[in-house]
Amino acid sequence: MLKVDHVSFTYAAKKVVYKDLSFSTVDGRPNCIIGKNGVGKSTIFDMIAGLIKPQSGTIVPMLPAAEIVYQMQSVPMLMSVTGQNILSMFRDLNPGTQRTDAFLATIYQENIIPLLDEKFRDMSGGEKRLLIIYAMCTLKRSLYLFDEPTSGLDPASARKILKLLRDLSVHSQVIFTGHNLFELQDISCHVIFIANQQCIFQGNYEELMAHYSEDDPVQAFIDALNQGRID
Amino acid sequence: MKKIRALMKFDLEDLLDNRLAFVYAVIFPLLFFAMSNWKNIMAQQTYGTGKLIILLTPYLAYVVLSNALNSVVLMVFSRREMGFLKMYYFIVERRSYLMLAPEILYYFISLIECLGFTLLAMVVFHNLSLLLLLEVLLIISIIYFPTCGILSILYLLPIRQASMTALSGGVLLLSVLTYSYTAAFMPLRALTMLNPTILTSNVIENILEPTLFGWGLVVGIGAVDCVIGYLCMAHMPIMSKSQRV
Repeated sequence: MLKVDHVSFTYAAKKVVYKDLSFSTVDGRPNCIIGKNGVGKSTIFDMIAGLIKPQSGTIVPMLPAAEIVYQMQSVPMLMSVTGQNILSMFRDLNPGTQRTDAFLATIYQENIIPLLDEKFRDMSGGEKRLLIIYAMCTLKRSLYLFDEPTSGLDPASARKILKLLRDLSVHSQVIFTGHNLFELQDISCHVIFIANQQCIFQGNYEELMAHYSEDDPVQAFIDALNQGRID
Repeated sequence: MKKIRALMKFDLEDLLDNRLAFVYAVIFPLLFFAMSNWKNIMAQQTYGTGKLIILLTPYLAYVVLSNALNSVVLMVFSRREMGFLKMYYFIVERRSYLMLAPEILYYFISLIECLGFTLLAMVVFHNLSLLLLLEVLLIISIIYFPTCGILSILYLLPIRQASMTALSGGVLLLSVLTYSYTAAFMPLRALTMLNPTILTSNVIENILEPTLFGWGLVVGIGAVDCVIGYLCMAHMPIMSKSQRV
Protein backbone atom coordinates (compact mmCIF):
# COMPACT_ATOMS: atom_id res chain seq x y z
CA MET A 1 0.00 0.00 0.00
CA LEU A 2 1.19 3.48 -0.85
CA LYS A 3 0.13 6.43 1.27
CA VAL A 4 0.12 9.99 -0.03
CA ASP A 5 -0.33 12.30 2.95
CA HIS A 6 -1.12 16.03 2.81
CA VAL A 7 1.02 16.63 -0.24
CA SER A 8 1.28 20.07 -1.77
CA PHE A 9 3.08 21.05 -4.93
CA THR A 10 3.45 24.25 -6.94
CA TYR A 11 5.26 24.53 -10.29
CA ALA A 12 7.83 27.35 -10.48
CA ALA A 13 6.07 29.19 -7.62
CA LYS A 14 3.16 29.92 -9.98
CA LYS A 15 0.92 27.03 -10.90
CA VAL A 16 -0.53 25.35 -7.82
CA VAL A 17 -1.01 21.67 -8.65
CA TYR A 18 -1.86 20.28 -5.21
CA LYS A 19 -2.84 22.06 -2.03
CA ASP A 20 -3.57 19.14 0.25
CA LEU A 21 -3.56 15.82 -1.54
CA SER A 22 -4.12 12.67 0.50
CA PHE A 23 -5.03 9.19 -0.63
CA SER A 24 -4.02 5.57 -0.19
CA THR A 25 -3.69 2.85 -2.77
CA VAL A 26 -4.77 -0.75 -2.25
CA ASP A 27 -2.99 -4.01 -2.96
CA GLY A 28 -4.37 -6.87 -5.01
CA ARG A 29 -6.21 -4.77 -7.59
CA PRO A 30 -5.28 -1.88 -9.83
CA ASN A 31 -5.50 1.70 -8.59
CA CYS A 32 -6.78 4.26 -11.05
CA ILE A 33 -6.16 7.98 -10.62
CA ILE A 34 -8.96 9.78 -12.47
CA GLY A 35 -9.13 13.47 -13.20
CA LYS A 36 -9.55 15.92 -16.00
CA ASN A 37 -6.68 17.04 -18.22
CA GLY A 38 -4.02 19.12 -16.49
CA VAL A 39 -5.11 18.18 -12.97
CA GLY A 40 -1.60 16.91 -12.17
CA LYS A 41 -1.88 13.15 -12.63
CA SER A 42 1.59 12.93 -14.17
CA THR A 43 2.96 15.18 -11.43
CA ILE A 44 1.82 12.79 -8.71
CA PHE A 45 3.49 9.96 -10.64
CA ASP A 46 6.72 11.95 -10.80
CA MET A 47 6.52 12.41 -7.03
CA ILE A 48 5.78 8.73 -6.36
CA ALA A 49 8.70 7.80 -8.62
CA GLY A 50 10.99 10.18 -6.71
CA LEU A 51 11.72 12.42 -9.69
CA ILE A 52 10.34 15.49 -7.95
CA LYS A 53 9.79 16.15 -4.27
CA PRO A 54 6.55 17.39 -2.74
CA GLN A 55 6.91 20.82 -1.16
CA SER A 56 5.09 19.54 1.90
CA GLY A 57 3.56 16.26 2.99
CA THR A 58 4.84 12.73 2.58
CA ILE A 59 4.64 9.75 0.27
CA VAL A 60 5.31 6.42 1.94
CA PRO A 61 7.06 4.20 0.95
CA MET A 62 9.47 5.83 -1.49
CA LEU A 63 10.82 2.99 -3.59
CA PRO A 64 14.18 3.00 -5.41
CA ALA A 65 14.17 3.25 -9.22
CA ALA A 66 15.07 -0.44 -9.45
CA GLU A 67 11.70 -1.33 -7.91
CA ILE A 68 9.61 0.83 -10.24
CA VAL A 69 8.36 0.71 -13.81
CA TYR A 70 7.11 4.04 -15.13
CA GLN A 71 5.28 4.27 -18.46
CA MET A 72 4.79 7.81 -19.59
CA GLN A 73 1.94 9.34 -21.57
CA SER A 74 4.13 9.66 -24.65
CA VAL A 75 5.88 6.58 -25.97
CA PRO A 76 9.49 7.63 -26.53
CA MET A 77 11.42 5.07 -28.56
CA LEU A 78 13.97 4.90 -31.35
CA MET A 79 11.90 4.82 -34.51
CA SER A 80 14.03 2.46 -36.56
CA VAL A 81 14.04 -0.52 -34.19
CA THR A 82 11.67 -3.47 -34.53
CA GLY A 83 9.30 -4.90 -31.95
CA GLN A 84 11.72 -7.79 -31.50
CA ASN A 85 14.63 -5.37 -30.87
CA ILE A 86 12.61 -3.62 -28.19
CA LEU A 87 11.66 -6.82 -26.38
CA SER A 88 15.26 -8.04 -26.61
CA MET A 89 16.52 -4.80 -25.12
CA PHE A 90 14.09 -5.03 -22.20
CA ARG A 91 15.22 -8.63 -21.63
CA ASP A 92 18.93 -7.82 -21.91
CA LEU A 93 18.61 -4.87 -19.54
CA ASN A 94 16.91 -7.01 -16.91
CA PRO A 95 18.51 -10.42 -17.25
CA GLY A 96 16.91 -13.18 -15.20
CA THR A 97 14.18 -10.93 -13.78
CA GLN A 98 11.50 -11.31 -16.40
CA ARG A 99 7.91 -12.22 -15.72
CA THR A 100 6.71 -15.38 -17.39
CA ASP A 101 3.16 -15.35 -16.03
CA ALA A 102 0.41 -16.96 -18.08
CA PHE A 103 -1.55 -13.71 -18.42
CA LEU A 104 1.29 -12.24 -20.45
CA ALA A 105 1.33 -15.19 -22.85
CA THR A 106 -2.17 -14.48 -24.19
CA ILE A 107 -1.47 -10.87 -25.09
CA TYR A 108 1.88 -11.92 -26.58
CA GLN A 109 0.21 -14.48 -28.84
CA GLU A 110 -2.63 -12.24 -29.93
CA ASN A 111 -1.12 -8.77 -30.09
CA ILE A 112 2.65 -8.81 -29.87
CA ILE A 113 3.72 -11.50 -32.34
CA PRO A 114 2.42 -9.51 -35.36
CA LEU A 115 4.55 -6.54 -34.23
CA LEU A 116 7.84 -8.39 -33.81
CA ASP A 117 9.18 -7.71 -37.30
CA GLU A 118 7.60 -4.33 -37.69
CA LYS A 119 9.63 -1.16 -37.22
CA PHE A 120 8.48 1.12 -34.43
CA ARG A 121 7.95 4.00 -36.87
CA ASP A 122 5.56 1.87 -38.95
CA MET A 123 3.36 0.91 -35.99
CA SER A 124 0.17 2.80 -35.20
CA GLY A 125 0.00 4.88 -32.01
CA GLY A 126 -2.05 2.17 -30.31
CA GLU A 127 0.33 -0.61 -31.35
CA LYS A 128 3.31 1.35 -30.05
CA ARG A 129 1.62 1.83 -26.69
CA LEU A 130 0.54 -1.79 -26.50
CA LEU A 131 4.05 -3.04 -27.24
CA ILE A 132 5.73 -0.77 -24.69
CA ILE A 133 3.19 -1.58 -21.98
CA TYR A 134 3.60 -5.28 -22.64
CA ALA A 135 7.40 -4.94 -22.52
CA MET A 136 7.15 -3.06 -19.23
CA CYS A 137 4.83 -5.66 -17.73
CA THR A 138 7.46 -8.31 -18.42
CA LEU A 139 9.80 -6.62 -15.93
CA LYS A 140 9.56 -7.86 -12.35
CA ARG A 141 9.06 -4.82 -10.12
CA SER A 142 7.18 -3.88 -6.92
CA LEU A 143 5.42 -0.84 -8.34
CA TYR A 144 4.06 -0.20 -11.84
CA LEU A 145 3.05 3.31 -12.87
CA PHE A 146 1.14 3.65 -16.13
CA ASP A 147 0.28 7.15 -17.27
CA GLU A 148 -2.84 6.99 -19.46
CA PRO A 149 -2.14 3.47 -20.72
CA THR A 150 -5.34 3.28 -22.78
CA SER A 151 -4.94 6.64 -24.50
CA GLY A 152 -5.17 6.20 -28.27
CA LEU A 153 -6.20 2.55 -28.07
CA ASP A 154 -9.30 1.08 -29.65
CA PRO A 155 -11.84 -0.22 -27.09
CA ALA A 156 -10.83 -3.85 -27.59
CA SER A 157 -7.12 -3.12 -27.05
CA ALA A 158 -7.92 -0.80 -24.13
CA ARG A 159 -9.87 -3.59 -22.48
CA LYS A 160 -6.97 -6.00 -23.01
CA ILE A 161 -4.54 -3.55 -21.42
CA LEU A 162 -6.79 -3.00 -18.41
CA LYS A 163 -7.16 -6.75 -17.95
CA LEU A 164 -3.39 -7.04 -18.19
CA LEU A 165 -3.03 -4.42 -15.44
CA ARG A 166 -5.64 -6.23 -13.34
CA ASP A 167 -3.74 -9.52 -13.63
CA LEU A 168 -0.46 -7.77 -12.91
CA SER A 169 -1.89 -6.17 -9.77
CA VAL A 170 -2.33 -9.60 -8.18
CA HIS A 171 1.47 -9.81 -8.00
CA SER A 172 2.55 -6.16 -7.59
CA GLN A 173 1.20 -2.73 -6.90
CA VAL A 174 -0.27 -1.12 -10.04
CA ILE A 175 -1.32 2.51 -10.38
CA PHE A 176 -2.57 3.99 -13.63
CA THR A 177 -4.16 7.25 -14.68
CA GLY A 178 -7.06 7.95 -17.00
CA HIS A 179 -10.03 10.13 -17.86
CA ASN A 180 -12.63 7.61 -18.83
CA LEU A 181 -14.78 6.24 -16.04
CA PHE A 182 -16.61 3.93 -18.45
CA GLU A 183 -13.40 1.98 -19.02
CA LEU A 184 -13.41 0.97 -15.37
CA GLN A 185 -16.78 -0.78 -15.49
CA ASP A 186 -15.29 -4.13 -16.36
CA ILE A 187 -12.36 -4.27 -13.99
CA SER A 188 -12.50 -4.16 -10.26
CA CYS A 189 -10.21 -1.29 -9.36
CA HIS A 190 -9.67 1.28 -6.64
CA VAL A 191 -10.64 4.71 -8.00
CA ILE A 192 -8.87 7.84 -6.78
CA PHE A 193 -10.63 10.93 -8.14
CA ILE A 194 -8.56 14.11 -8.21
CA ALA A 195 -10.04 17.57 -8.72
CA ASN A 196 -9.54 21.05 -7.30
CA GLN A 197 -5.95 20.27 -6.23
CA GLN A 198 -7.01 17.43 -3.93
CA CYS A 199 -8.47 13.93 -3.84
CA ILE A 200 -12.27 14.24 -3.87
CA PHE A 201 -13.10 10.55 -3.78
CA GLN A 202 -11.50 7.17 -3.24
CA GLY A 203 -13.25 3.84 -3.38
CA ASN A 204 -14.48 1.43 -6.01
CA TYR A 205 -16.31 2.19 -9.23
CA GLU A 206 -19.73 1.08 -7.95
CA GLU A 207 -19.46 3.34 -4.90
CA LEU A 208 -18.58 6.31 -7.08
CA MET A 209 -21.48 5.67 -9.43
CA ALA A 210 -23.88 5.02 -6.54
CA HIS A 211 -22.96 8.32 -4.94
CA TYR A 212 -23.93 10.24 -8.03
CA SER A 213 -26.87 7.94 -8.84
CA GLU A 214 -25.91 8.02 -12.44
CA ASP A 215 -25.93 5.28 -15.03
CA ASP A 216 -23.83 7.40 -17.30
CA PRO A 217 -20.12 7.40 -16.39
CA VAL A 218 -19.50 10.59 -18.38
CA GLN A 219 -22.20 12.44 -16.43
CA ALA A 220 -20.86 11.00 -13.17
CA PHE A 221 -17.42 12.38 -14.09
CA ILE A 222 -18.90 15.85 -14.74
CA ASP A 223 -20.96 15.75 -11.53
CA ALA A 224 -17.94 14.74 -9.49
CA LEU A 225 -16.01 17.70 -10.85
CA ASN A 226 -18.87 20.07 -10.10
CA GLN A 227 -19.74 18.83 -6.65
CA GLY A 228 -16.22 18.48 -5.30
CA ARG A 229 -15.28 16.49 -2.25
CA ILE A 230 -17.31 13.48 -1.10
CA ASP A 231 -16.92 13.01 2.65
CA MET B 1 28.68 -3.73 -18.51
CA LYS B 2 25.97 -6.11 -19.83
CA LYS B 3 23.41 -3.32 -19.65
CA ILE B 4 25.66 -0.85 -21.45
CA ARG B 5 26.26 -3.48 -24.13
CA ALA B 6 22.51 -4.01 -24.54
CA LEU B 7 21.96 -0.27 -24.96
CA MET B 8 24.87 0.00 -27.40
CA LYS B 9 23.38 -2.81 -29.49
CA PHE B 10 20.10 -0.92 -29.51
CA ASP B 11 21.78 2.35 -30.58
CA LEU B 12 23.70 0.50 -33.28
CA GLU B 13 20.45 -0.89 -34.72
CA ASP B 14 19.22 2.68 -34.94
CA LEU B 15 22.45 3.90 -36.49
CA LEU B 16 22.51 1.17 -39.13
CA ASP B 17 19.06 2.25 -40.23
CA ASN B 18 20.47 5.63 -41.17
CA ARG B 19 23.78 4.81 -42.83
CA LEU B 20 24.44 8.41 -43.78
CA ALA B 21 24.85 9.18 -40.06
CA PHE B 22 27.75 6.75 -40.06
CA VAL B 23 29.79 8.89 -42.45
CA TYR B 24 28.27 12.27 -41.63
CA ALA B 25 31.18 13.34 -39.42
CA VAL B 26 33.68 12.42 -42.15
CA ILE B 27 32.06 14.02 -45.20
CA PHE B 28 32.97 17.64 -44.42
CA PRO B 29 36.58 17.05 -43.34
CA LEU B 30 37.05 14.73 -46.33
CA LEU B 31 35.84 17.38 -48.76
CA PHE B 32 37.94 20.06 -47.07
CA PHE B 33 40.97 17.76 -47.05
CA ALA B 34 40.60 17.07 -50.76
CA MET B 35 40.09 20.75 -51.61
CA SER B 36 42.97 22.14 -49.56
CA ASN B 37 45.45 19.44 -50.63
CA TRP B 38 44.32 19.11 -54.22
CA LYS B 39 47.55 20.45 -55.73
CA ASN B 40 49.77 18.14 -53.68
CA ILE B 41 47.55 15.17 -54.36
CA MET B 42 47.65 15.81 -58.11
CA ALA B 43 51.42 16.33 -57.98
CA GLN B 44 51.68 12.77 -56.61
CA GLN B 45 53.76 13.96 -53.67
CA THR B 46 55.02 11.58 -51.00
CA TYR B 47 54.64 12.65 -47.36
CA GLY B 48 56.61 11.25 -44.43
CA THR B 49 54.77 9.92 -41.38
CA GLY B 50 55.48 13.03 -39.28
CA LYS B 51 54.30 15.41 -41.97
CA LEU B 52 51.21 13.33 -42.61
CA ILE B 53 50.16 13.28 -38.98
CA ILE B 54 50.53 17.06 -38.72
CA LEU B 55 48.44 17.38 -41.86
CA LEU B 56 45.75 15.10 -40.41
CA THR B 57 45.52 16.79 -36.98
CA PRO B 58 42.61 19.21 -37.60
CA TYR B 59 40.63 16.62 -39.52
CA LEU B 60 40.93 13.97 -36.82
CA ALA B 61 40.08 16.57 -34.18
CA TYR B 62 37.00 17.57 -36.18
CA VAL B 63 35.77 13.99 -36.61
CA VAL B 64 36.07 13.28 -32.89
CA LEU B 65 34.53 16.58 -31.87
CA SER B 66 31.70 16.28 -34.37
CA ASN B 67 30.84 12.76 -33.20
CA ALA B 68 31.06 13.63 -29.51
CA LEU B 69 28.96 16.75 -29.98
CA ASN B 70 26.37 15.80 -32.58
CA SER B 71 26.05 12.06 -32.11
CA VAL B 72 26.50 11.81 -28.35
CA VAL B 73 25.76 15.04 -26.48
CA LEU B 74 23.06 16.41 -28.80
CA MET B 75 21.45 12.99 -29.13
CA VAL B 76 21.31 12.41 -25.36
CA PHE B 77 20.01 15.95 -24.91
CA SER B 78 17.22 15.45 -27.46
CA ARG B 79 16.35 12.07 -25.95
CA ARG B 80 15.96 13.74 -22.60
CA GLU B 81 13.64 16.37 -24.07
CA MET B 82 11.55 13.60 -25.68
CA GLY B 83 11.14 11.88 -22.32
CA PHE B 84 13.30 8.93 -23.35
CA LEU B 85 15.73 9.27 -20.44
CA LYS B 86 12.96 9.61 -17.86
CA MET B 87 11.25 6.40 -18.94
CA TYR B 88 14.41 4.37 -19.54
CA TYR B 89 15.99 5.41 -16.27
CA PHE B 90 13.53 3.08 -14.55
CA ILE B 91 14.34 0.23 -16.91
CA VAL B 92 18.11 0.65 -16.82
CA GLU B 93 18.22 1.81 -13.17
CA ARG B 94 21.33 3.98 -13.66
CA ARG B 95 21.20 7.24 -15.55
CA SER B 96 24.89 7.09 -16.45
CA TYR B 97 24.32 3.97 -18.59
CA LEU B 98 22.01 5.95 -20.87
CA MET B 99 24.85 8.37 -21.59
CA LEU B 100 27.77 5.96 -21.54
CA ALA B 101 26.24 3.58 -24.10
CA PRO B 102 26.20 6.07 -27.03
CA GLU B 103 29.51 7.49 -25.84
CA ILE B 104 31.26 4.10 -26.05
CA LEU B 105 29.53 3.19 -29.31
CA TYR B 106 30.72 6.42 -30.94
CA TYR B 107 34.24 5.86 -29.65
CA PHE B 108 34.43 2.83 -31.91
CA ILE B 109 32.74 4.66 -34.76
CA SER B 110 35.16 7.61 -34.43
CA LEU B 111 38.01 5.13 -34.44
CA ILE B 112 36.79 3.45 -37.64
CA GLU B 113 36.16 6.81 -39.32
CA CYS B 114 39.56 8.26 -38.35
CA LEU B 115 41.45 5.11 -39.35
CA GLY B 116 39.61 5.11 -42.67
CA PHE B 117 40.45 8.79 -43.18
CA THR B 118 44.11 8.13 -42.34
CA LEU B 119 44.25 5.17 -44.72
CA LEU B 120 42.92 7.34 -47.51
CA ALA B 121 45.49 10.05 -46.75
CA MET B 122 48.24 7.41 -46.71
CA VAL B 123 47.17 6.16 -50.13
CA VAL B 124 47.04 9.60 -51.75
CA PHE B 125 50.39 10.60 -50.25
CA HIS B 126 52.07 7.25 -50.94
CA ASN B 127 53.01 6.34 -47.39
CA LEU B 128 51.44 3.16 -46.07
CA SER B 129 52.62 3.23 -42.49
CA LEU B 130 51.42 0.88 -39.75
CA LEU B 131 53.04 3.22 -37.22
CA LEU B 132 50.81 6.06 -38.38
CA LEU B 133 47.70 3.92 -37.95
CA LEU B 134 48.80 2.98 -34.43
CA GLU B 135 49.46 6.63 -33.65
CA VAL B 136 45.98 7.57 -34.83
CA LEU B 137 44.53 4.77 -32.69
CA LEU B 138 46.42 6.19 -29.70
CA ILE B 139 45.38 9.79 -30.43
CA ILE B 140 41.67 8.95 -30.73
CA SER B 141 41.80 6.81 -27.59
CA ILE B 142 43.40 9.65 -25.64
CA ILE B 143 41.20 12.50 -26.82
CA TYR B 144 37.77 10.94 -27.31
CA PHE B 145 36.59 10.46 -23.71
CA PRO B 146 37.97 13.80 -22.44
CA THR B 147 36.18 15.46 -25.39
CA CYS B 148 32.88 13.82 -24.38
CA GLY B 149 33.61 14.74 -20.77
CA ILE B 150 34.08 18.47 -21.30
CA LEU B 151 31.12 18.65 -23.67
CA SER B 152 28.90 17.08 -20.99
CA ILE B 153 28.70 20.55 -19.42
CA LEU B 154 26.09 21.24 -22.11
CA TYR B 155 23.73 18.77 -20.38
CA LEU B 156 23.44 21.15 -17.44
CA LEU B 157 22.36 24.19 -19.44
CA PRO B 158 18.69 25.05 -18.88
CA ILE B 159 17.96 25.58 -22.56
CA ARG B 160 15.65 24.07 -25.15
CA GLN B 161 16.52 21.74 -28.00
CA ALA B 162 16.58 24.48 -30.67
CA SER B 163 18.96 26.63 -28.60
CA MET B 164 21.17 23.63 -27.96
CA THR B 165 21.42 22.87 -31.67
CA ALA B 166 22.45 26.48 -32.39
CA LEU B 167 24.90 26.50 -29.50
CA SER B 168 26.55 23.24 -30.52
CA GLY B 169 27.14 24.64 -34.02
CA GLY B 170 28.94 27.59 -32.43
CA VAL B 171 30.98 25.33 -30.15
CA LEU B 172 32.07 23.20 -33.11
CA LEU B 173 33.08 26.19 -35.21
CA LEU B 174 34.94 27.95 -32.40
CA SER B 175 36.79 24.81 -31.38
CA VAL B 176 37.96 24.08 -34.91
CA LEU B 177 39.01 27.68 -35.61
CA THR B 178 41.18 27.79 -32.51
CA TYR B 179 42.83 24.36 -32.80
CA SER B 180 46.31 25.74 -33.50
CA TYR B 181 46.26 28.32 -30.69
CA THR B 182 49.11 28.01 -28.21
CA ALA B 183 49.70 30.17 -25.17
CA ALA B 184 53.14 30.64 -23.66
CA PHE B 185 51.77 31.42 -20.18
CA MET B 186 51.40 27.98 -18.62
CA PRO B 187 48.10 28.36 -16.68
CA LEU B 188 46.51 29.85 -19.79
CA ARG B 189 47.92 27.03 -21.91
CA ALA B 190 46.40 24.46 -19.55
CA LEU B 191 43.09 26.30 -19.70
CA THR B 192 43.03 26.41 -23.51
CA MET B 193 43.66 22.67 -23.58
CA LEU B 194 40.14 22.22 -22.27
CA ASN B 195 39.26 22.91 -25.91
CA PRO B 196 39.27 19.38 -27.40
CA THR B 197 40.93 20.44 -30.67
CA ILE B 198 43.81 22.15 -28.82
CA LEU B 199 44.13 19.03 -26.66
CA THR B 200 44.41 17.01 -29.88
CA SER B 201 47.18 19.31 -31.19
CA ASN B 202 49.04 18.86 -27.91
CA VAL B 203 48.73 15.07 -28.05
CA ILE B 204 50.17 15.04 -31.57
CA GLU B 205 52.93 17.43 -30.53
CA ASN B 206 53.86 15.03 -27.74
CA ILE B 207 53.80 12.04 -30.06
CA LEU B 208 56.23 13.77 -32.41
CA GLU B 209 58.45 15.27 -29.70
CA PRO B 210 57.62 13.57 -26.42
CA THR B 211 58.42 15.27 -23.13
CA LEU B 212 57.47 14.13 -19.65
CA PHE B 213 55.96 17.52 -18.85
CA GLY B 214 54.00 17.59 -22.10
CA TRP B 215 52.48 14.16 -21.51
CA GLY B 216 51.83 15.03 -17.88
CA LEU B 217 49.88 18.09 -18.98
CA VAL B 218 47.89 16.12 -21.57
CA VAL B 219 47.03 13.34 -19.11
CA GLY B 220 46.21 15.87 -16.38
CA ILE B 221 43.84 17.89 -18.59
CA GLY B 222 42.32 14.69 -19.96
CA ALA B 223 41.64 13.51 -16.41
CA VAL B 224 40.07 16.88 -15.50
CA ASP B 225 37.80 16.61 -18.58
CA CYS B 226 36.75 13.09 -17.57
CA VAL B 227 35.98 14.17 -13.98
CA ILE B 228 33.89 17.07 -15.32
CA GLY B 229 32.07 14.58 -17.55
CA TYR B 230 31.39 12.23 -14.64
CA LEU B 231 30.06 15.04 -12.45
CA CYS B 232 27.82 16.37 -15.23
CA MET B 233 26.46 12.88 -15.87
CA ALA B 234 25.75 12.36 -12.18
CA HIS B 235 23.97 15.70 -11.80
CA MET B 236 22.23 16.20 -15.11
CA PRO B 237 18.44 16.25 -14.88
CA ILE B 238 16.75 13.31 -16.58
CA MET B 239 13.47 15.16 -17.06
CA SER B 240 12.91 17.48 -20.00
CA LYS B 241 13.15 21.23 -19.41
CA SER B 242 9.37 21.67 -19.58
CA GLN B 243 8.83 19.06 -16.87
CA ARG B 244 11.35 20.43 -14.43
CA VAL B 245 10.23 22.42 -11.40
